Parts: sequence; C-alpha cells; structure tokens
Amino acid sequence: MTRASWVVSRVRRAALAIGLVHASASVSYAQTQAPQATLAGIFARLRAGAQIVNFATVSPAVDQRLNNLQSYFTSVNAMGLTLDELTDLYTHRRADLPTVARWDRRSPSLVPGVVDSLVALNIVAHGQLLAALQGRMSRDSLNVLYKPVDDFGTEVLVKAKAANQEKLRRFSIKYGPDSPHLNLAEVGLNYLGQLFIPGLLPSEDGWPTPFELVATYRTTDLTAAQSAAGHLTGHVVTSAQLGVRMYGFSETCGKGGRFADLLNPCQSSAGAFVLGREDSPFAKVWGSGARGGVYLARGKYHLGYVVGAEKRVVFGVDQQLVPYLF
Amino acid sequence: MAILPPQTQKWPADKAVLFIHGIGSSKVGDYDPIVAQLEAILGADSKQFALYFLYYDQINQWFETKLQAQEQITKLISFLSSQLEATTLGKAAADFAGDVIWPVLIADARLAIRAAVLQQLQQIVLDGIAANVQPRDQHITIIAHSLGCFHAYEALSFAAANPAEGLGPASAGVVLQNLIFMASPVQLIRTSAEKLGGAVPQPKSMFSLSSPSLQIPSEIGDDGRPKLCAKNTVSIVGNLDPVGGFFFRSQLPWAYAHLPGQDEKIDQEKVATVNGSEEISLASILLSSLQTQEPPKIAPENPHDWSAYIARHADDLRKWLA
Repeated sequence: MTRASWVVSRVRRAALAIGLVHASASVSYAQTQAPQATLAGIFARLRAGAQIVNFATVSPAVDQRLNNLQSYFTSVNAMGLTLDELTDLYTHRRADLPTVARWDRRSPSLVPGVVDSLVALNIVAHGQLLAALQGRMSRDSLNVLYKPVDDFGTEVLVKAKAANQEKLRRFSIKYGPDSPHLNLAEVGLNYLGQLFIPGLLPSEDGWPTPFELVATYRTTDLTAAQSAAGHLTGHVVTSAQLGVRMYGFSETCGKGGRFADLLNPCQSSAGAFVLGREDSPFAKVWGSGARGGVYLARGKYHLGYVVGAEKRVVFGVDQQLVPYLF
Repeated sequence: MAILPPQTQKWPADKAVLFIHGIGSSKVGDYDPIVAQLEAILGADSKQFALYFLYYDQINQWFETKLQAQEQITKLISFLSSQLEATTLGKAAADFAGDVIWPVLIADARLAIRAAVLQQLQQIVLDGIAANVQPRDQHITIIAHSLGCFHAYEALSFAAANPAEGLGPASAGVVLQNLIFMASPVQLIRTSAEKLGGAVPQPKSMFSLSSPSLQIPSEIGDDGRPKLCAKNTVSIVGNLDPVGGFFFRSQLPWAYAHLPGQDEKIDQEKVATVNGSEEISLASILLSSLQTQEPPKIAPENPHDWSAYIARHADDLRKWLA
C-alpha cells in the first residue's frame, strides 16, 4: 500500500467515524429536539483524528493517555454530558450551592478529578495530535473534524468572559462611585485586615470578598429621649460604629425606586454601636459614661440601639461631613 | 449595562493586536498617535489587523475615590516630581509610582484589572472565532508598554495556570503570535514587592511576586514540557529608561525583567537633543552656543516614551507582525 492510499484509507475510516457520530447526534436530535455534542462525541472525533495520523504509533504515550481518559470518563458516567454541562463544570470548577442541595454522589460534577481530567483531555486535543493533523489535513477539514472540541473551547471562553464581566460588576459595586467611601481609619483597618483576615481577601480565582470593615464616627445621628418634664424631645447625638459591611452583589441591588437604597440596598452592615456620655453633637464617644449597643445599617441608613439604663434608639444617614475623617 | 465592556469588532483577516498602555490616564483617542504610527509602519497591511485597546484607568479611579486617596496620590506624585528632575521623565517616574500603588498594596485592585485584561483577551479570541478563525489559526499580538507589561504578564500567567479562563496555551491552544514588552517594570515591581515583604496582601495572587523566578507564562503540554503563551516574546528596553531597569546605561539586575527565552533588545538612547542635533558632544554644545550667542538649548528626551520605542523598532514590528 502506497503512503497516499494509506492516508486516503485512514481519512475514509475517519469520515466513517464522523458519520457515525453525526448519525448518533441525529438520533439524539430526533429524541430531544436539542442536539448538543457530548463528551462521547468529542472522544469520537479525537479517535478519528488519531486514526488518521496513526497516533498509537506516532505518539503511543499520549494515545494511551487518551485511552485512559476515555475509560475514566466512562467509569464516572460522564460520557453523556453535553458541552453546556461540561463547560459549566470546567469554568465553575467547584460544586455550587444548588448542586450540593441536590446532592447526588453519582453526579459527575461531584466526582473528584473530572475537571482535571477534562483539562488533561483538552491538553491532549491541542497537543501532538493536533500538530500531526495540521500536517495532514486542510484547515477546513480540520475545522470539521475538531468542531466539538472547538465548540467546547468557545463555550468555555463565553462563560469565562461572562465570569470576568461579573467580577468587574462586583468590584464596581464594592469600589465604584456609588460605594461607601472609607475614612482614614477604615482604609487602615481594611488594609491590615487584608493581611491578617482571610475573609477580607478576594478568592484565589479573583472574586471580590463581600466583606469590609466599618469604623465610623458620626456627629449628626438623631435620637429621642424623654425630658425631665416628661416630653419626648429629639436630640442630635454623636455615635461611633465598629462592624462589618457586607455587599449583596445581586443584579438588582440599589435599583427599584425612591426607597431602593433602604429596601434593596447593595450593602448592609452590623456591629457595635457607641454613644457618648451625653446626647450631644460633636462629643467624644469614649471614656467613662460611654453607652454601648448594637447597630444595623441598610444602604446609607442605620439604626442603633443603646442598651443599659438609658436605652436609646438612634437613627442616622451615612454622610461624611469631613472627607477622610467622618 | 455592562461594566467596562470589552472592545469587540469584526476581524478583517486572521490578525489582531491588543495595545495595553502604561502609566498615567488613558482615555478613548489617546491611542490614536500609536495607531497612526503602526499604520505607517505596516502600510497597506495594517488593514488586515483588528486593533484593540485596553483602558483600565477607570478601575484605578474607583480605588482612588473609594479610599479617598486622590489627594494623597497627587501629593505623592508632586513630591516625587519635585525630587526628580523637572522633565517628562521625572513626571513619568512620579506617575509610575502612583499607579503601582494599587496593584501592589490592594489585592482587589490587582485582580480587577486582571479581570479586565482577561475579558478583553477572551473577547478578542471570540471575535476571531466569529470570523471563522479558530484559536489555532489566529495571529494575536500584545504590545504592552510600562505598567501595561505588568498587567499583561499577570493576566497571561493567571490564564496559563487556570484552564477555566479558556486561554491556556496547552489546554485551549491559545498561543499568541507575539508578546511584546516595551519598558517592562515586572522585575522592578517584583523587587519592590519583595522589599515590602508581608505588607503585600495576598502575594500568591501576584504571579510576578510569587513565582520562584520570572518566566514567560506557560502551561505544561502533553509532551511534559512547558508550552509558552507566545511564539515570540520580546522585551525592548531603552538603556536610559529606569522603569525598564536601566540607570544611566547600567542594567540593574534587580530592576530589569529578564524572562528566559525572550528576545531581548536594548535600545541605545540619547540623553538629550542638542539644538536639534542627535549628537551629544561638547563640541556641538559649544559650537551652537557660539553661533547663537546664547546658552545652548538642551531639550531632555523622555526615554520612557512609548512612541519612541515603536519608532525605533519599525522594521522589527513589520517583521514580527507579518
């Protein structure tokens, strides 16, 4: 057999294999009305390519790796996964809450090693096998043969780009022009927090943490107290807050009309609340006689509750009167 | 509305170039002189390229505003400017110090810009696919200047280490045609961050700091060897450019980014233009002084100028981008 006829024979066998894949996809289409390549389809194309270049001889070690990967995916029932499901696994790289809630030990998404094996499969697909095929096939023929492999890569890119866009959206909520500005104390605290508190750091794959430390001094909070004459009188008071702010990051936060900042804010916080000895503005809030309690903030509004002999409910708005300080 | 949406366009052929600017603020239109320069270099071939420009200053501004640091940064820059010579170089060095603060000291700032670079790269590859050019047939070049080199290095290193980004050279077959660093401060930032030690938050997420040594970003291929993120990685540094690791023609090992395997080009820069002449000599200074009966006019040149780097390598760029 001449080399040319050997190549023609290989290409014919590969074409037959591809045809079988198409036929199987057509059956699947008829059954589900939503044809999608599966992992089995990817393996069929890679096997067809391996036949064309006689990969078992050209690169036996990598060919064996392909066999091992096929056996592995078959053993964990992953061969029927669609590209959409595969790329979800590939880009999320960990089980999300709904998956855990529907806990299924046979689910491939929960089988350790599936994602790493998908990476290994992609490395085989884009390695020596591809280089050998590029030497044998035209660009168009290769594009046809590699379609499910390429579609997998395209879907990964689409999902990864969406994830990066989402990261930027979250960063903009936390740091953008509408986010709460930090005073000097908060800048220092949050910087130090990054060094020592893991929860204040972004995740290893680059998602911002929703948490931020709060340390404020406010001179224009409002409260009401009963005077000696028994009248309920309003007072402007000085307060301090030390707590943790949590960003919501939901798609709709901060939107939805006049009261969106109260009803659907992008951030809330809670923590310790301190009032000075007397109900007065611009007073010191530490030292003897200081009154303690807790506070809760939604958006730019906060409500504090002071415990002890002189219980107080205090209301305030996050507004820095003096930039950098309070 | 999308936040910092990536630039997208139809590819005229199978080639694309991404420009990533360095220090200072860049807004739409600021790349125009660079584009005009490249178009002049490539001539009619420039029509074959889809040109992309990354803008990330908005992210720096988020952090400045949030941390109410504009005033402090302005003070820092004006202080450094006053300490350095009152030249464009002095201003450039001062701006550089201001811009480097965010990625080094604030982990979120570092990762936000990385996400912006990654999504732009992903969009470029997707635009190529939309033009029926698969990643294996795409010819993408990154031309980064100054701090842009750092952001490109960080993004490509992350992509190489994280196949989920879909940009891995081995796992996704995305290999750049050229990765061109002009005046790369990657080693300078690495050394500075090392000196800061524990003061750098989450050093693991900063590849230029956490790697045992600086390397061209790569991913292990099916032959067990690293597959580089670019076929051709080039570093161009002027021998008077301190950001690129030179101080008065002396290469500083602690500041010069040497990536094994990269093509290194050291430009011979001139300190100044004397009365329009490129010769710097006492004779020319004296001669012009005698002729004009005035002190010689010495116009200091900016050795960090991106445009000058491109002009000096017009022939190289024509060859690399072919």
